[in-house]
Amino acid sequence: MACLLRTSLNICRASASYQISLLGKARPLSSLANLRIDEPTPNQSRLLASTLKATPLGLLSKVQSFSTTSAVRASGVPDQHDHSKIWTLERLLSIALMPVVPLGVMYPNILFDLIMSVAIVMHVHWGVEAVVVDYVRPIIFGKLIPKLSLGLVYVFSVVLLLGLLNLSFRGQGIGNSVNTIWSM
Amino acid sequence: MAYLRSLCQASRMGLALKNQPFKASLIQARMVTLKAVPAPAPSTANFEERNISLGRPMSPHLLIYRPQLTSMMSISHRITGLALTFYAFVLGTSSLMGVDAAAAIANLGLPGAIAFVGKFIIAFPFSYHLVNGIRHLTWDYGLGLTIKEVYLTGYVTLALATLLTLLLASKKTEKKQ
Repeated sequence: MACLLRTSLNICRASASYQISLLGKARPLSSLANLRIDEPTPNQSRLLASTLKATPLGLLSKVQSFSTTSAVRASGVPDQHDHSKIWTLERLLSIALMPVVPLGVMYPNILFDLIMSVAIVMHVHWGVEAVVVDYVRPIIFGKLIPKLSLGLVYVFSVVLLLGLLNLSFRGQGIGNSVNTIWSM
Repeated sequence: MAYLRSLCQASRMGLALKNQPFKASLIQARMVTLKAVPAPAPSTANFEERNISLGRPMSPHLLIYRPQLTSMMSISHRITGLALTFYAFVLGTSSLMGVDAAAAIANLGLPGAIAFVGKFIIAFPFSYHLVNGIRHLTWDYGLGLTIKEVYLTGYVTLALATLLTLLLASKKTEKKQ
């Protein structure tokens, strides 16, 4: 199975690098290095199309459509949108919030309030961002509104952070606020 | 590759036969030249752009699915998260405007039963998001992903979240000052 996978991957890479066509006039073919590059005539193109359907090369052309990711990987250009590390960070933050919030409410103090402010805002930002990306979609709202909404998420997160920091430094704090509400 | 090699052999065979004039037309049809062209550039269109250009319908469409425990608990996780965000936002922005929202709520002097309901409304999103968040983390870790386990943990989550909510809502802290 692994061998089969590797072979098909190699075919992918080969077909991504070179399109090999079954065309042209008869020429001595001592090795693959002596390739001739000819433009196909319309007649040859028609011949190619019918040949492709009838031969395993048809399969090869099908494999090509799966080769884009291999081509991207083989290109060696680092992926600018690699979010795998952020995903893990999000999970670690979620785990950290589980003890941080109860502790911050049970033992209200400025240090726990500050940790809660930053951790909650990060968690909220990623969560709301995911909601906006999933529901405010270009296919429904067009090009502009999704981008504006994503910008608003950042504005919202900044305001939330300022608000919670203000509550922690100048107000009674997050932990104390919860305790105050729970005193009713 | 094996197929390519056999093509090369076929063409060599064709060359060997070329001296025989009456077979020339047949051989011409079988002649092979390999042509190298650059690989097509990978598409730069993203998921959304591709869906729009292909005219794909929206999927999954909410109106054609029967509500199930799985989907309802999934959307509840987001709704409870947004509810908690709203509570934090109210506390934060009121503080920016110089108002102590928590003290204002506590000073309303709500009767016990109403206060319990109020605490329930605050505590339920917290409890649900906490317990279901643990469920999500176990999935992220690769555990409990069969449909049977998803339903089992779903019911356990609902029960635990409700219990925790009742426990929290029935609590009362000492009034300060």
